[in-house]
Amino acid sequence: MNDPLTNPSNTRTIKIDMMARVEGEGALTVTVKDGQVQDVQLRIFEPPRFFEAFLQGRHVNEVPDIVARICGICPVAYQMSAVHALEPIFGVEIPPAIRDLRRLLYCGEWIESHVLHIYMLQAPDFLGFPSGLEMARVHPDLVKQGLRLKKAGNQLITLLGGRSVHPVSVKIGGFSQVPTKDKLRALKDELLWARDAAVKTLQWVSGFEFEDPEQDYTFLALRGPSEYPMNTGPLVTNEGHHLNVSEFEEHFHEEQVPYSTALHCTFQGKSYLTGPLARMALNHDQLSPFTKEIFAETGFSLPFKRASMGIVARSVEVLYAFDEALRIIEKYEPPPFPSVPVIIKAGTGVAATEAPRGVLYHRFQVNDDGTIHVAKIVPPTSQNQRQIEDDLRNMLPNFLHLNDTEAAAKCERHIRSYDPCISCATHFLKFTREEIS
Amino acid sequence: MVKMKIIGLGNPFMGDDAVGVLVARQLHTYASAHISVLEGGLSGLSLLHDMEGTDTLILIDAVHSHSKVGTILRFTIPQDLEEIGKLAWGTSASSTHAFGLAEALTLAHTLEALPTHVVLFGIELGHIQKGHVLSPAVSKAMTGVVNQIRLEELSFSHA
Repeated sequence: MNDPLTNPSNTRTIKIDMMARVEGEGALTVTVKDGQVQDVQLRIFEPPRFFEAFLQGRHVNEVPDIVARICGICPVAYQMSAVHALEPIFGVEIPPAIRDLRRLLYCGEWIESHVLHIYMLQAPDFLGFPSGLEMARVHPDLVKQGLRLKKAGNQLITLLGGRSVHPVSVKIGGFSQVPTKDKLRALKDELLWARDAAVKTLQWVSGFEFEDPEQDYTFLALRGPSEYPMNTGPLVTNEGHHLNVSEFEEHFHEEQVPYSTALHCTFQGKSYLTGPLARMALNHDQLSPFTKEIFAETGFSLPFKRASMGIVARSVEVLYAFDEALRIIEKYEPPPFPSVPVIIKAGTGVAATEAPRGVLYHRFQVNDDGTIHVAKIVPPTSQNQRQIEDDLRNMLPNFLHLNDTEAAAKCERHIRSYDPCISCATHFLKFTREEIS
Repeated sequence: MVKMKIIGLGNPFMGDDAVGVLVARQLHTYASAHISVLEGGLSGLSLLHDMEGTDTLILIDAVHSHSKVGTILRFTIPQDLEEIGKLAWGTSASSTHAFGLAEALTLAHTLEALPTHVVLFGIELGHIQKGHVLSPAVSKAMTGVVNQIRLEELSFSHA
């Protein structure tokens, strides 16, 4: 192994391989020549590719349950994008009460996903722990608070989804059943506690040190007419673009890269960012008054230009999600029917919703008999992947003087701050280096 | 509070990774006022919520431990935590983008949140191709685990 400082003309390949495991692998390979970063390749295993093929030939009524198994963290997001893509084909109009319940369900998922990332994945980086497990040994009460917050989100999903991890009661046209008023009201006390705890969480993470370089992101998010986006709205960017979701595939191109099962998605040929930083940048005016008030106290200005500040954006969104859940529960009147009638017919439908990690696009082509002819799924991580690689390309020159372990830790931390679907796995990266002279 | 919770983990659409969920489905008829049977999911951390409110917890998941396909492994938690941490579980950190099974159990142990008795059955998987078809050896092991869990229930109920 040569020291890159004393032997700068060598080509140095930094590889971070993940632990061998069941479902494929992800890894980061960095090639350096003459002290310059030449290539950065982030390899991610991405389940949607398998499911696109698996969905072909399945009946549309099976779709919500199948797509809920694509991701263990965001089953609701996949269900929401799927039913919103399919319903227009069948001329289904979702009544306001059912629409509100779907929003409530989505609040539960944002809470679960974000709280997991804040408490168990990103906070340990700021506090100097190698993992959430290590942090739990020293700060058990802190982790217990995070788990209680997560559980409050979990309870919303359990109530509306039937089963907590893979909700099965979402269906085309609505829900297979809806909760009574009393059942929703019963959650109120815990949600009030959780909203207070979310305020404290935001105040806590706002005190962290954010040291990664600022950058000028191209942000992409949904933006509806009147509410912070979850299920509706055209796509907007901070560069003035305004696109209907039906135009998504004209402007966003996926390309296969040889080193990854994930497709890289670019916007008009460039990298861009979707997720909490983008939503905050483009929709902060639509946060609830209470959330805005607490956020104003942090003194931060928008947009956030550092990836590490995702933890602040996620904490704001957790607070908002609890506030929004309480608002929906307060005014809830059960709809007369849990779903509206659906008449299956052939056609093509698209939708995008805001998964915890960002824009999740679905397109389905349905046959006369209700089977799926084509399914296309573009998850947030493949959209952000190129941005992550760009960042690493820019940041790596500052890490080259470090040894392998330190350089790997810096890369992992930066990747993790984006909360890609592999973020947990980056705790298990194995670092190796090859020298080619 | 129930006496026993049985939670089958895995992905019913990913070949042998379905086995934990399928064991739970076979035991659904077994649920009573004292025994609850759940289909867990892909995220280990949700297990922390699901494991609340019971004395005895029985978990079933697919595992990749370089044993013969269909091998049934039985672990007692927390005694075997270190050992299960070395194996690749169907509900693993990297395959599900989530906190894996071993991490979730370790965290529960750290926070003193484990039920009194925890038993984990691992079934060595063969393939994880998309679809519903189990490897024959895994299918056979599934029946074996269902029978073993019935025995576990008897031993705990007479303990």
